[in-house]
Amino acid sequence: MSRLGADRATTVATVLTLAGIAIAGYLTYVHYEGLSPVCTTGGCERVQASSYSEIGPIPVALLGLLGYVAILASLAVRGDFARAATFMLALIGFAFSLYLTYLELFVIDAICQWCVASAVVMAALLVVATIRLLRPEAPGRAAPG
Amino acid sequence: MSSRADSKQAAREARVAAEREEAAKQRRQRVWALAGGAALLAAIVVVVLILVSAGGSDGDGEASGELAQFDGIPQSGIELGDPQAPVTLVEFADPQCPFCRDYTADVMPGLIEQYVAPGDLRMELQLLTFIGPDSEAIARAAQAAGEQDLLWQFMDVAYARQGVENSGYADQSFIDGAGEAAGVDVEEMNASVESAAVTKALEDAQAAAADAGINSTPSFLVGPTGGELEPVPQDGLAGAIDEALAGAK
Repeated sequence: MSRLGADRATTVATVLTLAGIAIAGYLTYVHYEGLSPVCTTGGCERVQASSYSEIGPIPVALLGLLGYVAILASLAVRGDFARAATFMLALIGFAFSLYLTYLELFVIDAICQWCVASAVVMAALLVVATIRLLRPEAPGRAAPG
Repeated sequence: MSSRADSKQAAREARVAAEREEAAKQRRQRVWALAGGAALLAAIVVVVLILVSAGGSDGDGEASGELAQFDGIPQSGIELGDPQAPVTLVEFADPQCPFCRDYTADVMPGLIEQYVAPGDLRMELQLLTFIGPDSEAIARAAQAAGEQDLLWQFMDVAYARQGVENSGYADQSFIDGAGEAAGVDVEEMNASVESAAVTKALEDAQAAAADAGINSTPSFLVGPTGGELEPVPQDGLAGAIDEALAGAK
């Protein structure tokens, strides 16, 4: 099995981020439209109606969308600082997803498939972002930083 | 000669290798420092996010102050307003739903003043209990308060005091306090919360929601009284009521 090089890691991270944008974008859309998300787990409405679905006036789904967009922007920049930024954003997203999953399981008592999907994407992004940060870029393409 | 050139070459290669190794070492150190800093920043951001999202209203123990809005308006069970009003608005709500609380505090008073008080609109409040046990405790008490025609006042207070969901906040003390603030005979209300009539009222609400395809709260139906009611988003309520009123005239 070939090692996941930094450039390939960037490609994988970009695909994962686009998937995350699609999920968070859909949840943001149904939130503002007052619609019920398509749901096979039966708990999406309860999660959506929960007070935890907003932080102040901002829907958690919108926060997630902004987070994914920020990750996408960081992926477009070369250099160690940008890689560290991607890692930090993925770590924030992953840790907050863990907290939200805890809430779903033990407080709200309902599982939202979209939230779980986003948590899985974020976990995968964290793995790839970590690899990407620790592996050097291809020779001659490294930017100072 | 050849031997000296070879040894020079070897020395040069060794130096280059050492420099590469040193550069790689420096990058590793820089990357680990960046990773550490990023992890620290991430930890701070996540802690702040979790603290801010503590969830639910902390409930200030005060009534909304809007109870006067119900003065002089006919009320019977889950219904508010003149039974002969030409237009009906049905709200499906869960007592623990924060968005239902926001609607009750921010939108409903204006609708009552503009449409219900003049006799143009009657409202129904169908209480669902899908969020959890606290929802059922409050909904049962509200239905029992409805037997005294004070369901709307009770729910106004219960929303104003809404706590962290599924925390067990809707205990007997909460129910009694909300009942007293709403002007309910608390003893009479508590005697009815487990009654067959209250249970049936909650089952009827659930059945009405299922019939209307309602699966989130708050949800609204608007239409001519006794006629076909249509789902309407919260921000379209006034327009839908105006339209139904125009159609009724």
